[in-house]
Amino acid sequence: MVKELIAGMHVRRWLKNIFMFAPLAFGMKLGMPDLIGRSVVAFGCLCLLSSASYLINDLVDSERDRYHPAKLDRPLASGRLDRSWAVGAAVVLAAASLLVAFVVDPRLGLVASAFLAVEIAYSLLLTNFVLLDVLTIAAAFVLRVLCGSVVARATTFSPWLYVCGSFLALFLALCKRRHELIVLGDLAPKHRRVLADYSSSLLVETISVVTSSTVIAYSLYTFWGAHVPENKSMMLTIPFVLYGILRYLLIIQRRDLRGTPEEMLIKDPPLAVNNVLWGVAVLAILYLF
Amino acid sequence: MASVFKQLLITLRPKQWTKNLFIFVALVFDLKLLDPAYVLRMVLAFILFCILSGSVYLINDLTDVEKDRQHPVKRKRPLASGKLSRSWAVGAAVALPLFALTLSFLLNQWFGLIGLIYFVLQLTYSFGLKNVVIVDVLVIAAGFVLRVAAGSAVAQAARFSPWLYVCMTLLALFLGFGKRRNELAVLDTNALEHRKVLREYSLELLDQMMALVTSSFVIAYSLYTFSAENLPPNKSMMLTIPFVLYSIFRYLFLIHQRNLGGSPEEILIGDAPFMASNLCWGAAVLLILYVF
Repeated sequence: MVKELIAGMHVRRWLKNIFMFAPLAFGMKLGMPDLIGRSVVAFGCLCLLSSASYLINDLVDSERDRYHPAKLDRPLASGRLDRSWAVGAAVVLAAASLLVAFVVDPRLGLVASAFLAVEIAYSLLLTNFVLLDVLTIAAAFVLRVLCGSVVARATTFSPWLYVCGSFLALFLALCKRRHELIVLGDLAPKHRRVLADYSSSLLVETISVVTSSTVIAYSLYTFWGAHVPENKSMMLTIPFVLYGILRYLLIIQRRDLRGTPEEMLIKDPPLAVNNVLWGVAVLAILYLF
Repeated sequence: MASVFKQLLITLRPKQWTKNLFIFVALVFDLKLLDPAYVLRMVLAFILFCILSGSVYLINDLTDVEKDRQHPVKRKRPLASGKLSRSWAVGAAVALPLFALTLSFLLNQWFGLIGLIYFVLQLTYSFGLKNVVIVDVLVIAAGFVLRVAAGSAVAQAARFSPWLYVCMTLLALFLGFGKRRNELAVLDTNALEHRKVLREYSLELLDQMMALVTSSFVIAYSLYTFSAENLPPNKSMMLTIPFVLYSIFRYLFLIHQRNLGGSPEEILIGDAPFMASNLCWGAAVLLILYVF
């Protein structure tokens, strides 16, 4: 049962919470052990909170997941994980991590509670509303960054971090819808009701909007953002962002993807290499020059 | 006599006057909404602009009267149906613009000048530019920018962010291309006959241009929220970005999935989620500008 419970926690999706470290890294605070410690604890809280929300989500979706080729094997959809266990685990995880968050920093506790509320509202309700669903995903992303900002004791508020980040989150969410529409075709609404309201032409259009917004916002960050070096060397990282986004657009068109589109961020070799290079370049430019 | 005024009023298209509300943009964003002297002048400016923009429809109907008689819907217009006599219409078409422009120059010379430019531009649109691909939508957008600029002159706006002009232009382009896309998508032959320029557009081209102006708009608005001068230093204006994003995506949704977009004024009051988002946006903007 414990094994199934861990599977139901979707540990792989914890990767999204890594965005929480953005304020620490971009605020030039990676060399401060106490802030790193706080951030790691907060990261743990966010991971457990998101797992609690995944358990709730799978509880709600278990009927529909049975139609989805990749999801019918989930612990709750397949019935291997008892529903009462899942409910109990979700409550314990949420309560424990919120408690820790409030102890670390009361403001972290508040933002983390908002995060949990948004995630649960998404699972129970907002996931069924066209466009609101993807905006909620972006909102959860902003709250992650806000958590990171609180624990990193950020004093200067960098609008770029939030604008770039939320466009990126919107981009990923819209791409996911597009990929599901491509792979599932007519079956799509059965798996995700809201897909009946999306069409490829709407998704193509909204994706191109957020794509160009992300690229422009990132470019503006590279020469106007806080802490970027005077010589504008941060602009050298724009090509990686461009390649990454274009490569991702290519990947979601593929029907034979082994895994979810987000997993390709670390599984698709060209994309993974590109992301690592981008990360190294950003850190080198921020901290070495 | 009363019926003449009624028919004349119908010809001035009061429904389209909602567009002139854009005049008030500068008043709101320059934080002068609570200054009665300015509000009064703005209301006067708004009325003058309505007369001016209405006269363009009047002149348009006068020249198109023969063509309108062949059109299943437009034949019911006051001039085409003969309910409004030609001599009254000609008299009004001369007197109304003259009256509105004179008062405009008296109110504020810049306002008068912008009003004149607007009037001339709208006439060139009616008599030619509406048939030139891309230029047609650009002229519509220019009309919106001129409205905002006219309002800014009357409000004597000192801290009106240039980003808002960019936003307005892009928003107007968005609405214009959206309108063309809708006309092309529903493609009834009447529209095609009446709007020759539609033959030059294609759905692909319009989708691409809409994506372009939408993303530029979103970025321009974001830049406004954190770089304009008279905003609260805590960047709280950024909290309004989600409403703008939702509204614009909702509009795209209505265009793509529901085949709407032909008349923006109807969507503005016809789609509940869109309305709710706009109201929330308006309330948030007012709260942030005036309360914090």
